[in-house]
Amino acid sequence: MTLPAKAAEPNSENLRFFEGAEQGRLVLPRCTACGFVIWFPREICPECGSQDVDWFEASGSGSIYSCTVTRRIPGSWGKSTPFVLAYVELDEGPRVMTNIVDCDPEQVAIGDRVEAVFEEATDRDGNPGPPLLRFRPVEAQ
Amino acid sequence: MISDPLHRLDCCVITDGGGAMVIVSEAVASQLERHCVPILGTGSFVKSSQSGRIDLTHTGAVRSGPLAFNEAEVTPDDIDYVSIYDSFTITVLITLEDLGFCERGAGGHFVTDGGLQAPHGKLPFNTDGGGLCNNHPANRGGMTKVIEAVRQLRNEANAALQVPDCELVLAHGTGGSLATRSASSTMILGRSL
Ligand SMILES: [Zn+2]
Repeated sequence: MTLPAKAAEPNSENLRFFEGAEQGRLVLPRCTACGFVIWFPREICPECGSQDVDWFEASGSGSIYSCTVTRRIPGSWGKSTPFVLAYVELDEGPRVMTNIVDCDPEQVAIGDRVEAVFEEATDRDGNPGPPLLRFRPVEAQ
Repeated sequence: MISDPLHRLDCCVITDGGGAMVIVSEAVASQLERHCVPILGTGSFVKSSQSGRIDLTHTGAVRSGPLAFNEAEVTPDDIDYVSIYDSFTITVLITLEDLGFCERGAGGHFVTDGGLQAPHGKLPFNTDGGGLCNNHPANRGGMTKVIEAVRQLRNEANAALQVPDCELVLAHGTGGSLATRSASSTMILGRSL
């Protein structure tokens, strides 16, 4: 089941993130002053206020911090139930609100390991835009 | 099931409604025939998005509660009745923990033995039915919380649910995005000036 995917509108503050997304890479800003990994992507550190950041390719791996299976919802998402809404804690620290895809919603649980995927997204006119970051389960080794 | 683990009855109703409070000086209150109740303590706090490291296990009540209790110079054990904003059942459980009525993580246990029932539970709660059973007027769910708390102090609650000798009450509201950008307000009211 595909979920609705609304394309974001990149700006100068987050362009590097979306350029990475186009290539299927999770590129994040990190504060050069205090080392904090910043989410959502922007060129200012929410911890120390520095505007000096560098961009790096993150692992794309993380664990589910919290999740729910949405079963009733109005609007266009109503056609996609049940789906998983989650916070994923990236291995680099940030907790990202997202969807878990390519999964059996009944089997997804807190603590599960997941990896980043970038899904096609379209703007309100139906034109393709930057891909959308979501996550899928990683099979236990 | 709406969104695991919340069933339909774990989600509040949506209603019309409204209310108003009249706040006056003690000098004015002393000339009124209506029973006026004093505001003993208040606290407000906004929980931020925590620099993208959100902790979903608490609300801004962890700060608004102590501010109100300290100003009123009372503790959770002293409270006879609470009105707590109840958009969902989980909202109540976390708020009870945040305000210090039970240990963190013990909110479920605290309520499952009927302890919130009026008039004789250990902490009578939302005797107007609250948002879960009676009212949630758009974004004004906090107003009806204060109104029912004042009714309890005035001995004007539904007779079957009136808390005997109700002398100290707490009303608490939560707004905004519940987990990530929530605003919390706590008010403690007494019986007489
Ligand atoms: Zn920094």
